[in-house]
Amino acid sequence: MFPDTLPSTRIKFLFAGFFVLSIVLSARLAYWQVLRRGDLLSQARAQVVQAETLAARRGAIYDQNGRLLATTVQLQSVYAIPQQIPDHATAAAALAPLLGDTAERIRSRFDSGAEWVFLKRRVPEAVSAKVKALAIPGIGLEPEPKRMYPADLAAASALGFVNDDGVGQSGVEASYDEALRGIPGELVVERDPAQRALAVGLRQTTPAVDGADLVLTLDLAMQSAAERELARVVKSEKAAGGTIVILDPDTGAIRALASMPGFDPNDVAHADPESFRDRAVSWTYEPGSTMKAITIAAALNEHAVEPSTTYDDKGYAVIGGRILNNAQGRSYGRLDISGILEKSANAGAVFVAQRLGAEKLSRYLHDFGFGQATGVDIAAEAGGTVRPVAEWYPVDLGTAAFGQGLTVTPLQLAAAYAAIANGGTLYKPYLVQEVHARDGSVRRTEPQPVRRVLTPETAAIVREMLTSVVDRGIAQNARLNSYSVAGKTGTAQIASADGSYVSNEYISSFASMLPARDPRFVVLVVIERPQSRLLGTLSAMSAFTGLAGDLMRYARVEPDRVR
Amino acid sequence: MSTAALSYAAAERRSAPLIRRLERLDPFLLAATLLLIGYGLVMTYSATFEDTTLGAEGAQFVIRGVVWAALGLAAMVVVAYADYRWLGAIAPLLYLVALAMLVLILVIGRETLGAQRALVVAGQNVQVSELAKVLVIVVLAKYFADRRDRIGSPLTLLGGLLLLGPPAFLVFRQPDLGTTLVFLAIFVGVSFIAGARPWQLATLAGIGIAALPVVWTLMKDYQRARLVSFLDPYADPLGTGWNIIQSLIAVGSGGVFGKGLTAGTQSPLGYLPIAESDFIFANLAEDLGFVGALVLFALYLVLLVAALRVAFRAPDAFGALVGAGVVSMLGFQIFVNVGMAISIMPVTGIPLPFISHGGSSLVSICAALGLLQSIAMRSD
Repeated sequence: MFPDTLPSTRIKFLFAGFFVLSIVLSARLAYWQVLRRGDLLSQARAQVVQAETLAARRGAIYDQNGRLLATTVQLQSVYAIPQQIPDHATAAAALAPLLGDTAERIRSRFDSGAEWVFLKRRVPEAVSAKVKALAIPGIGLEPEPKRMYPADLAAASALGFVNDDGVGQSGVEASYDEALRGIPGELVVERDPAQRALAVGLRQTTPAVDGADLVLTLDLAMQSAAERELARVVKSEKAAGGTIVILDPDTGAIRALASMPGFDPNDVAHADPESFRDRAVSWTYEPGSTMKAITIAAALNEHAVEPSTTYDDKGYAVIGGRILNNAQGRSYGRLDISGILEKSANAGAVFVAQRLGAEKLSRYLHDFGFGQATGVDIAAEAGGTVRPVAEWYPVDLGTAAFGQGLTVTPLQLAAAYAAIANGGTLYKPYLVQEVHARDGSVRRTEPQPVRRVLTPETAAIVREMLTSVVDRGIAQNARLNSYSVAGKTGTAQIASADGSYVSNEYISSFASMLPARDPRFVVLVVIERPQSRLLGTLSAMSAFTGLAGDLMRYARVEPDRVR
Repeated sequence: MSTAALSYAAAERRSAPLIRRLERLDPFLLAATLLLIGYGLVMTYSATFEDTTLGAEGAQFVIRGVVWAALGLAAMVVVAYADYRWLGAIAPLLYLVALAMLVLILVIGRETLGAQRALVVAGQNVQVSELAKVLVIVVLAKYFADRRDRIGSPLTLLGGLLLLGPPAFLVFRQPDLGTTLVFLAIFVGVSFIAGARPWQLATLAGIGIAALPVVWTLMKDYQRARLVSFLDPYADPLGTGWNIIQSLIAVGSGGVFGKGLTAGTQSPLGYLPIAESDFIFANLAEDLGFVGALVLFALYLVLLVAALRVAFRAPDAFGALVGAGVVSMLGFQIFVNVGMAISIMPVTGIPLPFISHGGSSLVSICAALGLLQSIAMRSD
């Protein structure tokens, strides 16, 4: 019973209003919950769910005898959440002596307004233990990996280093970065707006797969001896730098790879960037007379000359209308092929090259591996420059015969000498012997013959000639008391950017194999810009003799000579 | 209860037997009320269960919710049992009581979230403005019921507005913009059903809109920021826009069927602010989805239609206008609260009837519905 004084139509109007409003609300709701659902659902997930990367442990690197060269340790970094620290002054005072900082500086970091701040990164374990013992609320420790190189400077350029994010930047660290790095895992956690992980929240873990360990062909003892001798000679000669490469000629395995200037991989931040350039692999030079052995090996193999072939040395050769002189303009009279090497006669090398011809010399340079990267498993390898024979002027045949007008890397030259040493086969040099994956599988590097360059007979003849070079010829300073040595010196000028030679600057080298009769090692010493010009090859040979004795004793090679 | 009230009730009992009046109880109104109280308890549980920002306090919310529901039902029974008509008789007194309470709260009120809204009684926060809303309904209903013959006069409407002015201003000063708006909604609803001329109401609305710049200057900074962020929540997504964006994320991610009770992430992880009260609807929509929200709308519709039917059948104009006032209050609060969660209304702190956790609101609403039952029981 509604009093007729009140307009009942208005109540009906209200009825209608509520129906309309419920439809408006339902429609708007349907819009958000049906049409916009996907978008808003992903927003809800995105702000709640966060993926954290679980870092994989980077693999360790060992030398061929299992001595540790590189490893990753978990150090702790000390951080602060200033808001949670009850008393800034007390906390700063307590932390100052442990972190080696002043209380004022720590205090100012607390008061900087930052919600989260590192106080000191990667502290030693003793320090982190003491910080933990203080148990100050708001002070925490976070594990951070640090790459350590226990052998310090040894093999630094071959190993390379990693950046702050643990990514390999050079050397083996870069070329094997993927294997060493492993596969990072993922932890998905739910977080509240303050970014706290929720105990009750969802968690999904994809475990990280740690990186593989590497076993190198490198031998830390040989490496250390090579670095010691290189450093000695570079210092005494005030040289700009240098390198020593030791190869196993029968496999191409690299036993030592010393490079100067060097750097401390534990402190790359303060290193000279130039020192990161591995002199053995990433650096090229004009090899000079060490190439005469290659020219003569090629000519003998092609029977363009025979060991008994002779010529009359006048001190110079004329080729392509140009005169090419012997060093110091000396003339040696009648020389056989071995004599050319023993005297290091430029005119003789030109004579042999002319007998061989440009086409064949060019082919042998290629077959010995020059002008192209060896494919060694070290990052940033250079290829060297050997111009194609079609671009050669007639004189280029002559200069190439004694190692000018082309550039090589020390590793290329060592690999070419290794082919002479092992009976004629060029092997691809390699530094990593084994890759030990986390699942226990081991991948071994098999020696990779690239091609046969010389017949075993030719190789044996060249070795005999190079032995004479040391025993009777120009390289007598490289003689050892108890072992035969085959080798060749080289002194090359340095080409400047405009193609002319820089006066008074030389690169001296000594390429060798020992013992000469059945070589176990190829040793190449290269000294960049020694200050005593004439004695430059002497210093290269001096580094060799200082190293060779240790090398033979260490490798327990039976002496093949008794003096 | 005063002795006068007791004697009035005794007289009533003599004239109409209790059994007969119980038969007149509106069953739809009662059923909707009970179901909504239950729904509210379930949502309080869902919104506070495992809420990381509440910690171990979570269970307290449900326990308190049950206690308040019991108190609300008791209040409803008492009010329904009493004759609503003597409330009309003491309307001037009720008006003074309401004013006194609102002044008191400004003087000694307890501050929460930047506003003085609650009195502490026996350790519980009592939101005085919730009770004041019911008192204002009674006062305005009585005022317009007594002036039915002069309802066409603008003076009648202005008189009602003068009556509303002091309590509305006091609430606005707390500051509680939401409740002030509820007062206005009650005024419009009661005067409209009382027969106020539409052109007069339209004129009032026009004056109100013209006065908006003045209201703007009177508003607090945070109230202005809310209005701005309503228009463009992404202008400051981590600041003033945060609540709206998080609310929409909660609603939208619920989808058609919801994530399940307590399974929503927005509230327990603390993304949705005041999820057990102002933004309870977003929480409900996330947990129970579109279906859960439609069930809620259906219950509200049953409640409002039943309440309107009580008003329609009321034995006198006062009863009819009380019914209109209660319906206006509930309808307005529902629309604004839900609209806020789904971005058709700016953010204002208006609780969602029955569902928002809050004792004062629940008890006041129960008392108002008790009034409607009292009217229903005395209709023929």
